[in-house]
Amino acid sequence: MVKRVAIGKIPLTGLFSIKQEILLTPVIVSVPIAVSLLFIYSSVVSGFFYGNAIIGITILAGNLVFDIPFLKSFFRLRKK
Amino acid sequence: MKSNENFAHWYRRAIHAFGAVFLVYYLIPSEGLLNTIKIMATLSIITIFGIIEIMRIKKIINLFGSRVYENERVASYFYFGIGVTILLIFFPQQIAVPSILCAAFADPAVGELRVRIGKRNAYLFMFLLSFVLFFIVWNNAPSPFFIIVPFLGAIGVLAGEIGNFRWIDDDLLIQIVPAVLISVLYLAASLNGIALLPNPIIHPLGG
Repeated sequence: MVKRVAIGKIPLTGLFSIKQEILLTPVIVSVPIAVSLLFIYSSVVSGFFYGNAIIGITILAGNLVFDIPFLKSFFRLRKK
Repeated sequence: MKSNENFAHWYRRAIHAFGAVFLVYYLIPSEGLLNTIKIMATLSIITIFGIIEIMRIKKIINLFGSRVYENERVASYFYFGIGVTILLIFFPQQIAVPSILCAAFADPAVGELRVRIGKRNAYLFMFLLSFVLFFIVWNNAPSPFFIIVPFLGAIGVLAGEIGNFRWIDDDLLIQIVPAVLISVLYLAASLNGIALLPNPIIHPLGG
């Protein structure tokens, strides 16, 4: 049984569990894309440096592999 | 699989892959105050994870996507965070970067492939993917280390995945086992006057 601890008037259990996954979904998807673009950008401004670009592409590709089925399952859940 | 179970499953996979964003650490220059700030930020993040974990284990809060066996023990994401923190702060970039990438991508990939193509083929895929990720960083190392190190790294990742410990999660072992193996080789080479490390792959912003 989960205890309910209140901070002010917000029940902490609710704050963390209700729609937590919906709150985090945009972060989980967008932050890796932003970080990978930052790597690619840093590579371009420093004269297309191989290292930063390849790490940026690796982060982007790796995340897309898991984000696409994740987003599919998210929208399937929202439909229900 | 029900749609909410399917969502929780992919949520965990996506969180895993998300771990690669911590490599942004190396985009921040390591000079003076910035170095102190980035180390403090890393330690702060893992401390926050620790507080959340204590609250979760004490059942003060619920975390979506937690597994049943994690009810009474530390969850995988915290082990992942510990591994990333140790690697970023104590290991050279050339060892930390591929180890973190393997934990972020090879581990969820093998978990997914195990049920689709069988355990043996999934582990073979994990070995090859880890080898490639280490090779990306070590391809400009002196011969023959540009092959030996990715091979050793991939073996370490596989050992971290297959090793079954009750209290230590594979999310930590997948990062630490290859890092320790390569560090031992690095120290042995250094004692024999061999410069093993290739150039760092990530250059900081403005560097």
